[in-house]
Amino acid sequence: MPPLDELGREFGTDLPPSIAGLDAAHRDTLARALRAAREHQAVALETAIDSGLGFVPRLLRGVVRKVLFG
Amino acid sequence: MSERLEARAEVVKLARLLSVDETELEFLDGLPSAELRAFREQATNRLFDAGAQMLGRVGSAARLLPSALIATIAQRSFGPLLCARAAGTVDTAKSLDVAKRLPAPFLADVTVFLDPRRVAAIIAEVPAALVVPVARELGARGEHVTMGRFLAYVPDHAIVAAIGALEDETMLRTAFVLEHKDRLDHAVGLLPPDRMPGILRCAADAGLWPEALDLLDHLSEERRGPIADLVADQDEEIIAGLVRAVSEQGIWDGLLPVVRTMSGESRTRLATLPAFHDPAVMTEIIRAAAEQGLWQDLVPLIEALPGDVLETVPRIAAELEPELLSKVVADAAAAPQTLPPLVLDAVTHAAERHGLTHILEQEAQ
Repeated sequence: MPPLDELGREFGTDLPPSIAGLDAAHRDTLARALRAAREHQAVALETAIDSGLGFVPRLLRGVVRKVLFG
Repeated sequence: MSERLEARAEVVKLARLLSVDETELEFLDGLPSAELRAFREQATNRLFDAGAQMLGRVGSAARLLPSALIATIAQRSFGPLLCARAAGTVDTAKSLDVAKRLPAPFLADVTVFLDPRRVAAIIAEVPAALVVPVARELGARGEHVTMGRFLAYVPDHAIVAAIGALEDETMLRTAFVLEHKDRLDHAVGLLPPDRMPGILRCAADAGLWPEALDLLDHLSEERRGPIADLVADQDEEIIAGLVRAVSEQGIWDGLLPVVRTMSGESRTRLATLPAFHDPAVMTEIIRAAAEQGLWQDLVPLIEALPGDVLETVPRIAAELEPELLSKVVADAAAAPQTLPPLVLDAVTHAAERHGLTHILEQEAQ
């Protein structure tokens, strides 16, 4: 059995048949787009939290930081 | 009828979710819309799950802050995408209080990225005062696909508010790309009665008959009947345009059920209009009925045709290719009462000519 590609590892056997049946290059396009979107989201979230904390009044900032980062 | 366009709309939604240009996903064109949608929902879940833990903490932190400050942070730090991701983690009352403080264009941006399944509780409570400006903004931007994702989750008072804010063309285009078309019947029931004539005129003026017929196709017979009467009540030129559009798109399966559900008086008026008397049009209609098993829908129209046009129908039916004819013969034999006698005679004679009488005999047994 050939090793699973990135899309296969991500979704296993849950993929709808027409998506599962795409050729390797197109499966890879979808997998890369999903990975890029996830990475972009993670970076954007980190940046937004850093920047958002700047708007929080100094008095509350410590508590909010504790809620966010433990 | 709209499968190709529904699949196209799904590719657009997936491209937006993955932040790629839709041309990069052109290879998905032609795949079944239901499977594209299933994949989009899987990908949506992956993206929401990826940041779930941190977004949950953002939701908890939001409880500590005043709504006005959250609204500032939402616009200046988070932006529409992250606000859409975080919205489901903030409690409903707080979310709505923040939303009230945000400008409609920003809320419209957020709406584009929202997953309605995850913010259903918020949508259920959204006041009309928020719905109207956001719906107007989305309508002006042509965000029919976005609006179409929400109808199943929006309460009636918000649908009524949105209907009041949206133009006829926007409503037709949104209905066409709706995700939960089973809700259309209910939503159309919420339309003020005086809106429907304008929507039909808009279908004629903007070349949106396929969209209008698709809308009617998703209505219950009770709801469709009075609207079908309004269709029949349109000017002759508008009806001619409707017939032309249906002919060009090959969507007789959209029009014939409408004709069947209108009142006898309306159907007689429609059947006397010259647009239906063109032999080429009648041939198309009869072929479509034969190919798609639409005899039940066709017969009321045939019976309403004036005598001289009616006489052409048997000849057209008799000229169908043997394989189509055998289909009609089988339908006719199974339910002979559904075919007008003239057509039944023609079909029987043609069946004899093509050696298809065994089908009639089989069905008769």
